[in-house]
Amino acid sequence: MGKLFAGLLAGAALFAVPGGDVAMASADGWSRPNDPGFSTQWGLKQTRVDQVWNSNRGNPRVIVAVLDTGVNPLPDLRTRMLPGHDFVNEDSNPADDNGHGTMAAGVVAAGGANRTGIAGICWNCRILPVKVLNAKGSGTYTDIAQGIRFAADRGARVISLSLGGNADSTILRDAVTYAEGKGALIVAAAGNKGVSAAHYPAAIPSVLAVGGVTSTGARYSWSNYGSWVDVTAPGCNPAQGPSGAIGQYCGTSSAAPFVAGVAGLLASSPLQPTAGEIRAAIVGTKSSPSGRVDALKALQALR
Amino acid sequence: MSTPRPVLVVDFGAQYAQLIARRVREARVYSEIVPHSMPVAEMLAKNPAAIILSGGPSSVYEPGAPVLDPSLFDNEVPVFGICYGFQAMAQALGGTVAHTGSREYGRTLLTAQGGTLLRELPDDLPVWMSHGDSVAVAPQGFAVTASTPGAPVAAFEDLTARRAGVQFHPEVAHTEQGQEMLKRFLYDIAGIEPTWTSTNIIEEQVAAIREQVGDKQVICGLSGGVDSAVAAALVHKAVGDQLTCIFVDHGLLRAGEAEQVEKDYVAATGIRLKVVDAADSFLGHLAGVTDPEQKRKIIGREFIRTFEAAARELDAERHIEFLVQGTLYPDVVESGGGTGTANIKSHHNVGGLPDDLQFALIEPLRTLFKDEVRALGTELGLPDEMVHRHPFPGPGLAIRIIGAVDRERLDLLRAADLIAREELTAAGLDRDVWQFPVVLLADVRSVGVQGDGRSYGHPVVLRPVSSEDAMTADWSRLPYDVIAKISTRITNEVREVNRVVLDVTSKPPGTIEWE
Repeated sequence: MGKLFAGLLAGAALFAVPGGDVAMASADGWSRPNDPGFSTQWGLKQTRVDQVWNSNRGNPRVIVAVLDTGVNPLPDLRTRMLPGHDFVNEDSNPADDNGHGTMAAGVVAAGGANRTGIAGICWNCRILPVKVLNAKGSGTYTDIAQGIRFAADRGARVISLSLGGNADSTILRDAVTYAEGKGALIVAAAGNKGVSAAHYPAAIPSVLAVGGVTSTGARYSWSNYGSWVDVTAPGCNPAQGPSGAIGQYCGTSSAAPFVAGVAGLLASSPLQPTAGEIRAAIVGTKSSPSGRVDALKALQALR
Repeated sequence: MSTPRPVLVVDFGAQYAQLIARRVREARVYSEIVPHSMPVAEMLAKNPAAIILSGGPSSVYEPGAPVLDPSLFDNEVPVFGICYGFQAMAQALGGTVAHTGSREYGRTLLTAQGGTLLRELPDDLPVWMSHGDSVAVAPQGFAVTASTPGAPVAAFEDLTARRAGVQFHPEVAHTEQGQEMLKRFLYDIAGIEPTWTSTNIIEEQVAAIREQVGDKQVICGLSGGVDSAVAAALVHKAVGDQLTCIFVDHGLLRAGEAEQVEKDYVAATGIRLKVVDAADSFLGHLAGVTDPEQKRKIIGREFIRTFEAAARELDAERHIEFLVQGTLYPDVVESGGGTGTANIKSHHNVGGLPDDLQFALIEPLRTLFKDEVRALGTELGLPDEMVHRHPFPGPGLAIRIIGAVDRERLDLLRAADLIAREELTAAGLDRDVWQFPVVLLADVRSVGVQGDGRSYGHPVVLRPVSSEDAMTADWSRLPYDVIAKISTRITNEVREVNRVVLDVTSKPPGTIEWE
């Protein structure tokens, strides 16, 4: 019990937002934050993330690494961003020259109830920005593998990968094994070709492979599918682009950080579950037949 | 003939128009290609359901780039601009095309920002670009819905005016979700219903043919190919026994193909068939001829002569008024119906009949693409081997023998070709290969070792190609074990052939056939 309390207190301390406001729960509790983009975030209700918020909005001890085109320090993200790395240009500045990574980071952990942008899923999780994709959105398995190892070394509990390719790779598998050994859960996009062919690293068995579903729970025609896809999530989510404007962010690139955010919430639980327990909770409680993640059930399954 | 209101694809001359028109048909909407030189009034007279402006030169500023008549936009027809058509549309409606002189070519990731055309599509969508200058400012009333690193305005739409455009090519397979975008323009923006199906085509054509023919007699020529087979089957469905078909066996077909027409096809359709065995006459005229154009001319001439004689006989028996031709839409467009697209090869068709033997033409496939014809063939119950036969040239094996044509060489080639076809089918690759010529280099001999002794035999060339549209093609990457099997079997089983080579040239620069 003491543990739970400590968790909540630590979380509450971080609600201080720029301007000195302290975000407050509305009459509905925490489930309807005042972010301007919130009303269009249909995916949150369907996956019952909004209900989880009543008891858990993430804990700053939980680090979610976003391996992508970089992340821009938007007001909605900046307070929780850790120093990261850029493996494309080999420097310590993972700025986003594309926009993809900033949107992915926003889906995971944009600040909630701060009257800014959208509400991310794990408001209080910290973001580790790791740039492994260039301005055109492409990268090498070598850079991605390096990024995975880096994230694990920096203590990431969840590593979100909105990327992938057709080929399996020993370099990737070794990095995944390394990160899992350090306690990280790796979440990856299933790919947007609308095919059942395996997409890597998502199709590596221990990686949580995420497909995209519509607001009615149907697979988006572009989402890859197959028995190797472990779970699905809303495939279109509003997110702030690199300049801060809110747009629709669609693709399994959007679904993967959604699940990474849910994993972040679970990792924030005072029960302190392992990566394996988080994975089992998410996969074991998904809705049928859509396979959509159910954040509330997943959290309850940890008990 | 009643065809639905067409979607007009305006051809700006870059070979994309055909593919776009096919994609529109695949979306079950009827389409037609028109040249960009067609006056707007004439386009509108066709009562189009929508107009699609195709790709063309790389920029509207290119010297000699065709100009788009802005009066196209003085009415309410929905318009979709693609690549060059997108730029031309932007310029005509008061947007700005930046003369940057830079180029963007190949696969690019598109950053889509919603809208109708790109609604809920992945944010990092690979699209195919091929352009120079780019649209800098969209015309008034248009929302910009996507950008790429090389094109700040990569897509725009004006839902009120029912107009949209994209800088990339949604019609090519490299653009993911391209067909989905095209459908959204057709269904969601232009408001067209997807009603064009092969069942519709059959019903419409049968009714039209009945009306045209009445109680008169019809003849048709069968070549063994899918086009003439489907055309004849359609006419037969419409007028039954009023149709008689002629099959000229010129001795230049592949193994089993004559039997396929004479037995399987007749069994499947019940068509009355008159077979003319003209192999001796054709081979006599071809003796010693090596020049490919000369071969084509002789075969064309002899074909008409033979067909004519058979038609005359039939005409005497029962007075004939109509002739069926399996002309396809691409033939119509290529031979001058479209733009100034050059007439690349004289198509071998039954034509040029003399004045005393004039028939009115029935061309039931005139508005259709090959894949649509195949779908019709299946629906009409034709043999599968016939419906999915790879395209085969009219002059037959004569132009797959490099050198003079004679019976012995034909037998060699026929045997080698049959092995290649059998192995391709056994490997389940028939549908992955567009065409698979096997070519006999009859005047070339090389040294080999076969059995105990040295041999001095001919090489055969394997020429498997893959193509979406026949306009461009690439050599098929057949699995090595399939190639190995074909090679071993040919050198073992075909006497006189001691070497098998693979042609690895794409088109362009090489054509699919060697002659």
